[in-house]
Amino acid sequence: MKASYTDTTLRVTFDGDLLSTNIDTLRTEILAAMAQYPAAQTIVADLTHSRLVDSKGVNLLIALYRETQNRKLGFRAENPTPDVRRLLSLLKLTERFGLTA
Amino acid sequence: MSSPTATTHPDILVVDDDPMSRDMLVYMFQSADIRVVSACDGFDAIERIKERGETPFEAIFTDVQMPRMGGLELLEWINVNAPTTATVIMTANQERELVSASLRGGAVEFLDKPFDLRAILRAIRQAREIHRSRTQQLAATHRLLDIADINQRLTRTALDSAVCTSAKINLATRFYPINEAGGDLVKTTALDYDRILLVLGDVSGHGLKEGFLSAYFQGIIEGMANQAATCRGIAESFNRFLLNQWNDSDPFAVSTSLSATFLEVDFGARRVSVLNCGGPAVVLSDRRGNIEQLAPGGAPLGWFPEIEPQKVTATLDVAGLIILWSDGLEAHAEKLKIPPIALAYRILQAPANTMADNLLKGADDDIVVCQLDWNPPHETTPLGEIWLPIYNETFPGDSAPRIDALQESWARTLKIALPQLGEDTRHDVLLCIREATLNAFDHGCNNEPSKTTRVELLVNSTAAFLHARISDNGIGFDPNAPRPPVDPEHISLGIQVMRSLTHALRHSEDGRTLEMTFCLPAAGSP
Repeated sequence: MKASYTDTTLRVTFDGDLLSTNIDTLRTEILAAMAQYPAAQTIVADLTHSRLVDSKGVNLLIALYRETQNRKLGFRAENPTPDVRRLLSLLKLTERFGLTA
Repeated sequence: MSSPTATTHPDILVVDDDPMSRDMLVYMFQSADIRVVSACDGFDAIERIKERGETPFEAIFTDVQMPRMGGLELLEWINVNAPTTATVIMTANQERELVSASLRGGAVEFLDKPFDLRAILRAIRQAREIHRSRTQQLAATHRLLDIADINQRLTRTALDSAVCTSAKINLATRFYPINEAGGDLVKTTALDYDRILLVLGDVSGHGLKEGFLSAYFQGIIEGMANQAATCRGIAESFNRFLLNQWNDSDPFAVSTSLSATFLEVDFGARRVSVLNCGGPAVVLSDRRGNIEQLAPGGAPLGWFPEIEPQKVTATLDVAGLIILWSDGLEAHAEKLKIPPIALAYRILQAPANTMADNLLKGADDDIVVCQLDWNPPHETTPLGEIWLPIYNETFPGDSAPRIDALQESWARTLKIALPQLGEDTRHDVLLCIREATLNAFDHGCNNEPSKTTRVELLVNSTAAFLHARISDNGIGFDPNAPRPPVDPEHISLGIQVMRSLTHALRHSEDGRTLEMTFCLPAAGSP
């Protein structure tokens, strides 16, 4: 996972899929990035390289969304593949995650 | 021309465009008291055959290279229109391709020019025996069977199948040899109203010699089956032949062997008996795709004096299928890192001899696969609702950490077995199988290695639906049992994902089995 910070926006870009087998690592890395950039006002989850997101991966995104809500930060997901966007749409998460048509 | 009445004298048609060669052969036949008619090419021969009406020639000796219609085209015509007639190919050149083509086309013998009288007489003896056997077989078939049904999906390489009265059966066979000639064989013979004998064999080696040996074995199978020999009796006969005659010349040479699987299928008693001598396991599936692997083989024939394996018997569902294949398919599936049954499915779905893509390139051995399926006789749909298995693996209950590797194997299987599957559908199928399997590991098996989870992928007979069945041997949803501590949000989300992406989803077996159905795009669609 890569983290970059620009103009109060923390962008976390996942290197690959969000799966049951890697979400623990990703969760730790995201929390570390948020601690590194405490002034961030918005968190962006960049899904460009995530072709598959399983239910635990979705749970990670939901957890990240909740965490931003608790900290009164903005959150959005960006660049999902068509399959991941469809999944998030079926789970009625696109609006919450700031994914507009 | 002699009259076509039954006689103890052979009744032969000679086909050759070279008048000198033809006349010489006719003279040699006549001097040996053989009744003979001649023709100058394939078209002329067909006219002579048609003139005979209901009394076909016992054998046809034909040249290969002739104007208008050659010997191999004639052989094809004979196989369809005069199937009891034995064909002997005469060739001055030993072109391997021609010879092997004619071997697979059903020729029974070859004669080298110039002719040797003893070789001719030997060829006639063999041809007459083949003719007699084929005539008996055809008569029995006509009495008992409706050939149209069995031939619906039959390739020309296995023409001797039968239809019984207790079931509608189909046989599909695919050969993909690595050389022009090879020793693989699939032989089917009707034993009586309800029983057929099916033999899939593989003679070691890939040359012309093995091709001849394979043809010889096929003749023996038919002959012995007609004499009511048992599978073991036939196998013992081959074993003796290989040990005492074929491999007898040099005791330290690498011996020729035959891996052969003998199936005696009794549709009346709904029973199959398998004698497996060196072949891969046979897959028996009921109509819902529940499979049983039968009789992994012992040693091939030709190695040891005793035949090791015992015959295994299993019960047949009212509808179902049996799939068997050669070692070559198993080895190639291993190379592709997919289950053999997935490769077998893909090959069987393609029309015969059309697997021109890269899938089978690099195979190290001949690939043969054969599927026998059946339905109740009143069934109007060819395959009814039979589900065809493409994946069936069982994993220890503590395999959750390996889920990514398992998913890769499902992805490879789907890509090869169902090439028509688009990226979107494959994504959905993989995600749902992953969710269901993880759920089975985590909650069904409680991640205990002593418990197991089985993943089955099945395709219906029209390839319109894919069915994924994930089952575990855990406690299920027993209301009296203590529920393990779980994250309820995760469970509901996993189920929600599966409900969203499947055509249908249902639990059974007290929650131990989850079945998901997906709609498939039509084969050949992008």
